[in-house]
Amino acid sequence: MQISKGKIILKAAIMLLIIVSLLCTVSFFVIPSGSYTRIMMHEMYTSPQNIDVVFVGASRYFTGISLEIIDDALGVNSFLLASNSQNPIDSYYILKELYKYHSPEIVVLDTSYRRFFNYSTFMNSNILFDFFRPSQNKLQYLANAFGPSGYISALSPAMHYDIFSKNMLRNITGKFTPEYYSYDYKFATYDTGGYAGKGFAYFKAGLENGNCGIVRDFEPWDEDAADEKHVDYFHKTIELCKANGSEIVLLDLPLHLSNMAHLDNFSENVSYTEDIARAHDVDAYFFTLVKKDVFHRKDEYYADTVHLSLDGAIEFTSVLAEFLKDYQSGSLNPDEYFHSSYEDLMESSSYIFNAWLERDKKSEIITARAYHGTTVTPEFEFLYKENADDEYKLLQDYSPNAAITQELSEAGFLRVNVRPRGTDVEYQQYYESSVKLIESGE
Amino acid sequence: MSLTSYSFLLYIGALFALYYALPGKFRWQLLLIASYVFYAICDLRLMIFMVLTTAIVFYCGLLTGKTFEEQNTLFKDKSGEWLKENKKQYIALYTKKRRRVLIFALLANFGILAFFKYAGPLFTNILPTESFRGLNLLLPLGISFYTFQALGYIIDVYRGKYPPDKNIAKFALFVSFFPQIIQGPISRYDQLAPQLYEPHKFDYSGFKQGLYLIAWGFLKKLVVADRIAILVNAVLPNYTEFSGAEIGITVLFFVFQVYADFSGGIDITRGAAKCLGIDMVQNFERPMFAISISDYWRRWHITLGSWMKDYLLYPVTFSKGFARLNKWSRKHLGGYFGKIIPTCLAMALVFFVVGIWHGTGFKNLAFGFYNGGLIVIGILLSGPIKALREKHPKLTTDSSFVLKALAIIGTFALVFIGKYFAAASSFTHAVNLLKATFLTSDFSFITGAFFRTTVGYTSLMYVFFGLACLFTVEALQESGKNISELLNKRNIVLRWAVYIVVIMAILLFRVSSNDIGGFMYANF
Repeated sequence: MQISKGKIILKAAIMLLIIVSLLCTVSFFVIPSGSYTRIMMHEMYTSPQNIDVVFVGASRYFTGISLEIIDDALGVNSFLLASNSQNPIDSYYILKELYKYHSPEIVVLDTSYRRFFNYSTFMNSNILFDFFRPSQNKLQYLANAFGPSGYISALSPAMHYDIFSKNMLRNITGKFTPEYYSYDYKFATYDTGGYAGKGFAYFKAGLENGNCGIVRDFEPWDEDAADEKHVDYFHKTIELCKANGSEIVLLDLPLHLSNMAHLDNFSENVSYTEDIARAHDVDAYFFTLVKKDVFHRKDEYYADTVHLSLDGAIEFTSVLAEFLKDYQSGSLNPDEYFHSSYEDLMESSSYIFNAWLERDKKSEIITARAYHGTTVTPEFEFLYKENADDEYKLLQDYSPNAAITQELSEAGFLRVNVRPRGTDVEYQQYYESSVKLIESGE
Repeated sequence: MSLTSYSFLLYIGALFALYYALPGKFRWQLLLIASYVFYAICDLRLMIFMVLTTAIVFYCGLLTGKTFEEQNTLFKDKSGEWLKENKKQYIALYTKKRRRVLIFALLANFGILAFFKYAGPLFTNILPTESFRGLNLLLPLGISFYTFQALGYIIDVYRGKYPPDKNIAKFALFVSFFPQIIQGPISRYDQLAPQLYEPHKFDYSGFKQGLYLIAWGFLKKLVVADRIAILVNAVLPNYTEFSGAEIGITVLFFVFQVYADFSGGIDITRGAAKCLGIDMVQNFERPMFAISISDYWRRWHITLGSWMKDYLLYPVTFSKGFARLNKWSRKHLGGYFGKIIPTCLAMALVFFVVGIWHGTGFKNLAFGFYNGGLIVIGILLSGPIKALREKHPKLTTDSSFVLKALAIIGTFALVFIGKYFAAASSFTHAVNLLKATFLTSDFSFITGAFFRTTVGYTSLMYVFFGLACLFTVEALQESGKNISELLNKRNIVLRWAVYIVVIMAILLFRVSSNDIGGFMYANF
């Protein structure tokens, strides 16, 4: 079939134009109306006041720091440039973006070691990248964060968001409201929590005191697993801040102790981070080692074992504000705030952190497990009921024996109460579950 | 560089532009450079083995060709009585020389292939030496495919089918032609080589066909295969956490995953070649519509099947040993069985080789034996079935839609069971999966929670969309329709709507994370 070159090029160009137009249209509608990073970036770009203190990090930061308290206590305009699973590459580029518009005096940088690991999802970068204004910085971010396979999908939100997500209708209808274009917080507010402005997003509810439940364990620190590029960008971020005249503080936020109990080599991470800090002549502080009388890690202060709840964020931020005041004034005494080591923390925390039940796949024996301080020996009490409406009956009184060997009906419910041996409280932590749903320990 | 990566698209885009911009006589050289650059990008460290195979087979080809030349020259110079007395003797002499060269080529190349495929697991499982344990040899990219392709060439030269290629660079192009290097198809020299060396003029219609194939391959791989992989990877390694029915459903999806993955890659390969004016052989012919296991294997991985037929099955069945076996079996087993038992043994051997071609481990042997066993059963039953059809002429799949549908479903069921061995990580794993599936009494997957927690409803929807497209097209093709012709008869709006839907589906429904690996057959 004979066809001129010009006609071929024209057809190709029209096809490309149609595809690009469709992608742009879909992209517009597919971006979540409730995206908090969209609002956060807009606020950063349009803030009339200079941002004096900026907190940069992952989700523990944006759920754990209530900026009103920082602003009141320090007399500053603070901001949270934090996002889900933000890695050091993201932090670097978002700070570069910030420096085009603001001159922060202090940059508080998240030093949680999980940020050094590479979980390789595009979305943690996409949710920021999508809302960068077009610039050379954005192009550099694209080139360095996504790699060749991510270039195209990064450019078009349609290619990295799920079109048919459960919020599809909300996403589409939201675009037809004036509030979307005025960056109203209502889109980023849910029953479980929401966006409060300047990058702070909160979880309303905390865990029930005494019922922390199963922990999805943080993986332990492993220097070999640290991604070279992430570590490199962490260094670059510190240098960037110093080059722009900001003081930089490396800081991690407190984890629920149940998520600390198995991190036997945590001190190695502390040393690793302190080495980085020393290399740049900056300071690193670990609120993961915070003392109980400074910040009591109550269950209700946590939405889960990683993120603080709103109450926890308020309580913690009061502590953080005092800490930053002391830091700024030069009167900071870290020993007042932190345990000297992970081992010291675990020794001083003489209580039960959480409890849960596990089932051995082969023998079907159900065992109670608990995380606790190192000076504590737990004891276990088991209660059982045949169905949900019944009252619990004592199956096994408090004893060091953590295992239930008798056969229980799958339809029944089992509860374990755990307390430190030698105490007479009813329980410190409990866990209950239908027998059928008790998971294996793997 | 994966066939479904943007860098591959950029690569072939640049290649197409350069190819048609260059004068004709330089085009095959460009393809050679492009093929070697492609291989180097994918697997530089192990490229030496492809070069080694190329060199060995090329020079063995030259040596073989030389014996033919010498033989022909000798007989040309002689005639009459001398020829009558000495021809047979000299033919035997030259055949012996050729056979030695062939054996060397086969041993050398199969040796390299066997070393990479089987040495690691062999040392790990059999030898006690600690230093060999965990020996994990990286497989050179496409080694099974280019080895078989090269050896097909040398066997054909040995048989005198065509003279050897005297240009090592051209021959290197035949072995390394980049679209096919990852997972075939396994081409024949006389079909592919002339096309590679011939400078093709730009043909708009052919180029479009090529682009359609590439897009179709992308859809199958990225939307269907990679999405199903999410489900398979979540369930099969952790099968004890799932009910038998959930495992069965997962393996069912796995059947589609393997097909979409492999055939999708082949479509991209054939599409890229078509854009360059090169027609590569089909490797799949709608295997899901097969009406028997032998029909299935005629439609699945066609080039491997035909390679096995031409270079293993026929040499075996035409060998002296086989002739003796034939004679013995007719004498001792009687007419019907005497005729078919040797064929059954030959087919069992072929499928044994197919099994080990897929890899080491009992599961691959079991896969081979399972399929070989079904073929043998089919052969054994062929006589009674033929007699039944002669009695009842309407009892054929050609004349009865119901029978055809039942045959397709029955064949699919047999294929489905065989795929447990492909899906599992070991023989034991496969047996456990089968036991769990067929002894299950828990069908709660119907509530949908299973899909929600493994692959997600959105992914499932995309998979169904992709499968619907796939089966619609294949059903039309099975009924004799040509999709291109069907589309070309429609108005431009409808045509373009179809193209845009496919492209948008690829862009929007594909798995965008790095979590899903490359092509499944790239490790062969």
